[in-house]
Amino acid sequence: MTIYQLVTNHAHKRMKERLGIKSPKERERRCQLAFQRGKPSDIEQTYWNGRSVNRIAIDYQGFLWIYGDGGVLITVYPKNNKGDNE
Amino acid sequence: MKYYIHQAKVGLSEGGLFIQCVVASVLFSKDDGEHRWLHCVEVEGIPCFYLNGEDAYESLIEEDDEVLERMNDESWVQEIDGFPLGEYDRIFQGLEEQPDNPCVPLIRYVIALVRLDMAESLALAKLADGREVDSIPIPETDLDVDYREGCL
Repeated sequence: MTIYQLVTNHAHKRMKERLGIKSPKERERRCQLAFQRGKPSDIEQTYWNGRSVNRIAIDYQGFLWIYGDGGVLITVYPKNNKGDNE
Repeated sequence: MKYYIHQAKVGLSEGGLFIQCVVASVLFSKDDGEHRWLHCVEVEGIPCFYLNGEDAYESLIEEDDEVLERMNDESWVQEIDGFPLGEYDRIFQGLEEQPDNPCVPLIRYVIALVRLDMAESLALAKLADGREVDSIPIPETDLDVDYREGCL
């Protein structure tokens, strides 16, 4: 059976340390909520476009949520945390 | 002594926007044939175990206060067949101290249901069809890694 991963291991770790969410399933749910309810971040999107990787930057609840192909969450970081994007 | 699992359910409670519970319920039996439910409700990374003869999964998912209060009074357990339950560090200590306790695979199965990604958990739950629980390959969880690295 193919298991489709919504959240990368890296993003799991970042959500645990930066948002304090201890449950992996709760992290998955937040990842989906951010994707559904967040707003595109133009500034952050420009940054990622410049790195020639396919990324979607979403602004949700004070954090920037970075998604890759298929809506997989790559990483998450605070909005004001310039210079530590990953 | 063997443990057999007949049914397994896992999901997130219907709680508020921010904090939800992970609920896993497993119907199991032992050689004596008596069927019992082991429920694990995890809130903010802290598990709570209940043991009874009641399929309370839907009530736990719906956070039915009456059922929860009754289960807290009557069915909350801190050990099962001599194996310590409680917070994860205590459980993993038990796994190290009692690796041959026959209920270890059952505990590992329930923890995996709670901690794996939802797709993996649901795939694992489908394997509950009356087979011996120790015949099921249980994937490593984030807790196994944390315990191994000394940061659980």
